[in-house]
Amino acid sequence: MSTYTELKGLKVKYLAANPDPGTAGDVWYDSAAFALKAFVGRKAWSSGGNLNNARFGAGGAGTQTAGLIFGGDSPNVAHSEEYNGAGWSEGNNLNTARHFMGNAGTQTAALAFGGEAGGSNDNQDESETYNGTSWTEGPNLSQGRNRLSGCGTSTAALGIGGQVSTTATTETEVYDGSSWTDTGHALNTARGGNSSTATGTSTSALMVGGWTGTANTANSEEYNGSSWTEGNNLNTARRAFGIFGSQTAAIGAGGYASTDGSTAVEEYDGTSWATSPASISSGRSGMAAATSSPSIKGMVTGGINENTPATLTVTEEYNNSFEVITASTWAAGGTVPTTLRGGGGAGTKTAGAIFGGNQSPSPGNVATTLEYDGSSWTSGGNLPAVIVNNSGTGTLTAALSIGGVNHPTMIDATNEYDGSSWTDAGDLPTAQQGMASVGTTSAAAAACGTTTTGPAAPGTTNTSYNYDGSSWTAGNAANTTGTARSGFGTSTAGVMVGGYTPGGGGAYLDDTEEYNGTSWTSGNDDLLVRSGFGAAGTLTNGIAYGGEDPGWPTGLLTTTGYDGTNWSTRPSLTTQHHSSGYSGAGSTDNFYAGGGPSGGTPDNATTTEEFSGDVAVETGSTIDFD
Amino acid sequence: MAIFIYGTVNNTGKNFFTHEDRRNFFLRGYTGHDGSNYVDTWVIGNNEKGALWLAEKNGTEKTKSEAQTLVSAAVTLAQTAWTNNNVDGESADEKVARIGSKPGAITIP
Repeated sequence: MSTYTELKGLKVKYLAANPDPGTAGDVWYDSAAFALKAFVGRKAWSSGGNLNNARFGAGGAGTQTAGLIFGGDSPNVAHSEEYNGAGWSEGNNLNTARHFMGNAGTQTAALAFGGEAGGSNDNQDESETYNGTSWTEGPNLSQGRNRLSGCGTSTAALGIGGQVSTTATTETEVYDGSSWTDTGHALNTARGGNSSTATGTSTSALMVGGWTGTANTANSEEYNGSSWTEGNNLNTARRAFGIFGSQTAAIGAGGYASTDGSTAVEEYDGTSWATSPASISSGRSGMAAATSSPSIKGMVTGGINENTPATLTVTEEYNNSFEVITASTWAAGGTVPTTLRGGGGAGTKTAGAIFGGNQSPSPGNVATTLEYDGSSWTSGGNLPAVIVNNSGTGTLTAALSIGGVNHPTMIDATNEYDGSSWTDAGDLPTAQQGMASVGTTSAAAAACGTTTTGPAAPGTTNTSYNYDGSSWTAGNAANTTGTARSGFGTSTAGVMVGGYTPGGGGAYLDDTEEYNGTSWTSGNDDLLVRSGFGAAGTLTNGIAYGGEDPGWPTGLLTTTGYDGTNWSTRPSLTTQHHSSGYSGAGSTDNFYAGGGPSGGTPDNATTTEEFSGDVAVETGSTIDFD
Repeated sequence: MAIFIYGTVNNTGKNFFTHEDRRNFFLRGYTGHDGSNYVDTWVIGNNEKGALWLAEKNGTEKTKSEAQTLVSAAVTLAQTAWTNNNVDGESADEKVARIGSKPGAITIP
């Protein structure tokens, strides 16, 4: 008897849009595109956030969205940095600066062991464990060595091969969380070659390539907890490449194959190595890898380009996914009609406003409001009075202008904008300028203004106020006294960062404070000190950009992002904006940096830049029929 | 091969450079002055897409030295304007508070 399937065939979903959520292997008929489609994995490398410290021969651990790099060379360093999938933030250093070490584990439970510290093939035997905050000395290897490989976890790791001085070894040691033991399970081919040539677990490992002491090797071996077994070789002999994945599915990228850093990538399916169609863009060797990554989603970073030679900060992320990822960056927006600096801002990159500020050299401070629709700027209703260094928060149709100055008069006024005109709102208890503000017209917080003018800012405070939609009341003071700080988020989940302290010329700040509606709590510092910059987003997804630092007035292009715990790098602005004060609200996918002077030419900056965060779109592939 | 190319073309605003442009090549903008007018001066990643971007904008390619001269001229004008921007009775600190610090030199990469 015939079955339904034999008579009718397999059913395929008839959809007007992609399946949501999608799963790899989904097949459907796209009625809008008149095509049969499927979610098919695409192999591709894309750029990630740059390291703060260029280096090669570093250790790596973790995943593409929670990575870790530690140590490294040129010069020999102890630096440790954490990756959140977008940028790197500084962590606490290794106790022993070193490079060419073994590595294992995750961002919150990592292991570093062995390596070279003196720069002449010396043999380190120390191991250190990382708990997500700091490195702690652990038990020593049985055999000190350099250029060894590692894999596994912080409590079940392998230290494989390496060199004792310049002699390649076959030794395999196992770490059980308390001590290192020589397993007696020797590699078939003695080799060193750097830290990132092994992957897997302590009972299911893969050791690939390396340096035998006389030549690069293409040899690949598998470990089952008892012995090493020969596998099929790499297509190209190489050492010092980045590897992640498992014994049955691994990716090996770049490395030192001949005289230059390779861009070639090979993939392992548990049986043989094949050249991947996706190569890295930055040829290099000695990179660190996110060793705990699966083979479909990994990351390599740092390294050295032997052609130049130059140590690198470059991070590249690997995805074998049906998602097409568009990386975050800045783009040009509409030109601001007049030059402005030091005003307030509110809203988003498609519905924003800037108000007040200074139009130098003439007419000076202004009462102007300019509205932005995502394309161009148009005039809005004027503020009741000319003002500069006022703080702004809210949206285009519900914005607050808080305090400010019209030299030499300090302003206590708060004004509310409804999208067409400004009205008086409750005055600040004390007239001041340069406050950081967060929130909306019905629930805001503002802090850290100054009641005086001049860079010494003797009137700088740590005072904080809460706004309920009609009046301001004193709140708990911030932890750091400063002004010209920037804020983003809400009145109950807000962030204030940067600024400068009073004193002889002022000292610039990188301090971060979080506000919960009642009190300010110190967070981890931004990656740089600055004041007079833009900021936007939420407590767990915010960015800060541009501004000025002690090198002012060259101005800053730097953008950093905050994830609620740490700051990390983001794509830089194209042109300099400082003292702009023009920032938006909402998510980091949705704001603008408008106006503000560019370094060296404070009268001539009318540029706007728009930021878009990373976007991942599930994209179906069309199935063709021959 | 040089890492950067240099050129001048004025920023016309929205979509003058796009998110895709920024992903395709390095781009930094500076204000320059050619003796008569301000002119936006760009440092552009030296790849096919970077060169094509400058050509499509009808930009004028410059040498690094020429680009640096333009940027330095704009800085000099800004410094002169800053020096001449005074209010009777104003202290140095008050001047900085009013219009910011004196512009400093810029060295393009």
